[in-house]
Amino acid sequence: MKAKLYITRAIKISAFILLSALVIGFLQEYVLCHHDANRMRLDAFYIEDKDTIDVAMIGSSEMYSGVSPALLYEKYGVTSFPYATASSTAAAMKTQIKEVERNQSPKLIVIEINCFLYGTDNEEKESSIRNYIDNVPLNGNKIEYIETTPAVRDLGRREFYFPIIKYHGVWNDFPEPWNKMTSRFTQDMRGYTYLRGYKTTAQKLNVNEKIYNPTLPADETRNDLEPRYEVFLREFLDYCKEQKYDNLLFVRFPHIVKKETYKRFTRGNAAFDIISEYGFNYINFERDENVMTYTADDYYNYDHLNIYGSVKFTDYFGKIITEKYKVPKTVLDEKNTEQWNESVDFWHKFYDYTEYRFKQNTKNKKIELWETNDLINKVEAYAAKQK
Amino acid sequence: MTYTSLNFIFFVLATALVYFVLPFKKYRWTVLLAASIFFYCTWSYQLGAFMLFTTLSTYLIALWLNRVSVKSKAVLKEHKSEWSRDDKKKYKNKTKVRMRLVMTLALLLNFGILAFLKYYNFFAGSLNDILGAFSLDFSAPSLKLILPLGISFYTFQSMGYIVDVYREKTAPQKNPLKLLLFVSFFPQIIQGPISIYDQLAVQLFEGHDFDFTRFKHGCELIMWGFFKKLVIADRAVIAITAVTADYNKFGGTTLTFTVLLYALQLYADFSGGIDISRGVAQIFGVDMIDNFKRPYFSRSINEYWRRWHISLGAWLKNYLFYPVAMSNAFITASKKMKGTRFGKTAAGAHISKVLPTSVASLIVFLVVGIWHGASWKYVAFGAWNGMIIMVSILLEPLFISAKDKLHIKDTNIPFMLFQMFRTFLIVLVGYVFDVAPSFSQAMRTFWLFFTNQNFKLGYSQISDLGLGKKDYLVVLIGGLIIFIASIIQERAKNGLDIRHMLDQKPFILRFALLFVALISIVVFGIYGSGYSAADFVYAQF
Repeated sequence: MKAKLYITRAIKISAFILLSALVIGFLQEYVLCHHDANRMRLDAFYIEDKDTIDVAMIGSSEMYSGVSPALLYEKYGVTSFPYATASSTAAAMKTQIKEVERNQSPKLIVIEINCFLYGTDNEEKESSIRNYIDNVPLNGNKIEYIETTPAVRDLGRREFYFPIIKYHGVWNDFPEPWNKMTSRFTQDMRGYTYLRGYKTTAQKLNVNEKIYNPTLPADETRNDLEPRYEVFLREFLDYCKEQKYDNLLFVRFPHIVKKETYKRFTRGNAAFDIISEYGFNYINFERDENVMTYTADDYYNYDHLNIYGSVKFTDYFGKIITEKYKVPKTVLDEKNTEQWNESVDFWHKFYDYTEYRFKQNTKNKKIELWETNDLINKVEAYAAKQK
Repeated sequence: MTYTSLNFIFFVLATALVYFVLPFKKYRWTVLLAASIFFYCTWSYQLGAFMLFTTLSTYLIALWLNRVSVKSKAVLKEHKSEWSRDDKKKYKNKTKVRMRLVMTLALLLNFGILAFLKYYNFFAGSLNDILGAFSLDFSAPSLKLILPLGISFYTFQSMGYIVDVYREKTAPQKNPLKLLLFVSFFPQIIQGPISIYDQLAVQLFEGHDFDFTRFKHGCELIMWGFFKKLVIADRAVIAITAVTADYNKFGGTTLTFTVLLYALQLYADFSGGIDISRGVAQIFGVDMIDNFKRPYFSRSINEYWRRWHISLGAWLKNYLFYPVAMSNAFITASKKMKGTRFGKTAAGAHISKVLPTSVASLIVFLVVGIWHGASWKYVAFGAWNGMIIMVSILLEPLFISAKDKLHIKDTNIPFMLFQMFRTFLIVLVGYVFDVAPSFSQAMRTFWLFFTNQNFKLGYSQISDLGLGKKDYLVVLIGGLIIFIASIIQERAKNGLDIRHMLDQKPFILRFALLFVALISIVVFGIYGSGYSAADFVYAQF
């Protein structure tokens, strides 16, 4: 009799705990989280079929605004994905590379070194940390990152294991996040995305100060990295060497360099020496005269290419990785081929729609465009109208 | 470690595990003691010295009192046949005086520490103001004093024990560690309830077995407390703090709204905290006094104070009200008045009869006011409540006769509602002293209530207090839930609390209710780094 009572109780308690955990877990994952492009992009990466991405691009925002995976696939037959978040921190690089390797077997991992070139502290910035790690599913790499990153410890590790503690107040923002939340459901149900993490802004840069780009290809000026960032870079390179990675390509993506950011450019030159010391490849596109001829019309701000710039750059970048770094055309199964072809189709419609938004944007306001249900509907509607 | 933190939940679960796993039931109280010391140290181990001093002085003085008493009884027994009745009486009185002196020593020491830490700066400031008015060249220095956690609660509790030992209602505790547990028991250290030794100690020292129903009820009570504190109180306090931070900016409508919101916030905060304390204690088999009995349903201010902060009220009644009201001075004054011409009239007879009670009430409430804080506004708060009670006692025959003439019965529902509303208004007036930053601001607030009601301005100001419409809706719905729960509890004829009533409902209903409560706390609670959680209001006492 007593045993029966204990069993019933145990079942009831377990059911309560299980149901609560499931519902809270669901809320944490889909509803009460920070809904933004970083979350959508990383989620999109994790829903890609295993071993279907040939070029993984890790680092900061330059990656997802500079290269269009759909266009790269169309032109060179190479699948790629920007596993990158805005203002990514140096401490996150090791986790990013581990996560890429855990989910895909890329032939080339392109690493943007922006996070090592900061003159100010980005490592302690909560938004920079959370842009990345909050969107990584709980696994050994994430746990290691949380446990070993001092800035995370200072902010409170528990909120990184259970982000709902941080974000439960998001209910107050609804219905604003509704579109993003349903977009997340849609892309998870679909199992892939069209733009594969690409994000742009329909805006052209207004330059009204001296820019250094024309002289940069010949500029050998070097300034040391900030000491802590040099340590981060060297630790990262040590790790890559230890792991015997032979598929790494370090890059510095193009920017419009002005007085304020010139020092960062010179640190990019210094980074070349350090990376070369470890025997890894490094391309500094800020020293590339083919890229440095891009004008302000190709950028939406000083640090990011707009869709016009990214079309040019994707083409140029594709050529380099296929010709110089011998990344072969991807061989995909029928399902994935069809999905990537769909991406290409959508890309063209998206490009047209973005152009249309440029034309509409007479006041040159900041119009961010990234894959949501709302954007897909608008792109499709615009394409239908054009027919 | 606050009561509403995750750490506290883990701490309670870990303590419960060790407590119930310990094979020696007799020594299970040591687990509670260790947990209480650990809990106090998480706040401040240095300030724990004050609590240790209180415990030690209480322990020694209680033993001293007992020794005096035992010795006196032995002497009386020894001289039973030799001494006359007068001699015995004389000796007894002498002993009583000695015991009173010993007890006073304990009271002076411990209330002295409390008074110094809590009120020194207030009195120094007031003294400086007075001396300044007479252009006297003296200035009492202001000191940076830190109040140890729960000092009021553990001081009141231990001094209650001393008085009980003095009155020989309680035998002194021989084990200083057991007394330390009584003083420091972690679920009550932050904001009470103030327990009486005889009620609490036995339960603390008795080794309890694990009882599933008790554990379940404890968890339910904790969850209810979390709901009140995190969903309602800590949300409402955002708007209240916005008002108090820039008090002069706001008009009468906003201040009226703030005082109303404060009534809900204070109740949700304090009663929520007490629910958590009681729930935790219940897990360990300890039933602590319920500090609230739906106070806003009170029909008189007297009743309100019997339903609000019950443990403080009971303490003051036992250890302050009765000693004052039954003191020789008061009884003599009453008798003298009775003998006068005025005392022979009906009104005079009544007044002379209730004079000790009414004046003692006023004194008690002045103490309550000062206990709430070192500021004239709190003195005014106490005086307001005391005056109302005094007047209601003195004019009671008039009220009764008016009711009779108007043929109003006490069971008349509209009349009962009127009484509740009237009492609530009186309570709200008291709250104005709490909310306003100073006594003069409180006076200004009353003035604005009548002269500055502007709903359009009020609406725009209320919308800008850091809470959105949805937040106000959550507060409103939360308030309604408390209201409904209070009605159910108030109407419960068999005295069962809601948790026991729930036990009689189908499992699925209980399951759903608990589940909704948990999710509501997780989603709507104010916690985490996105918010700054508010301290319990009564933790500052």
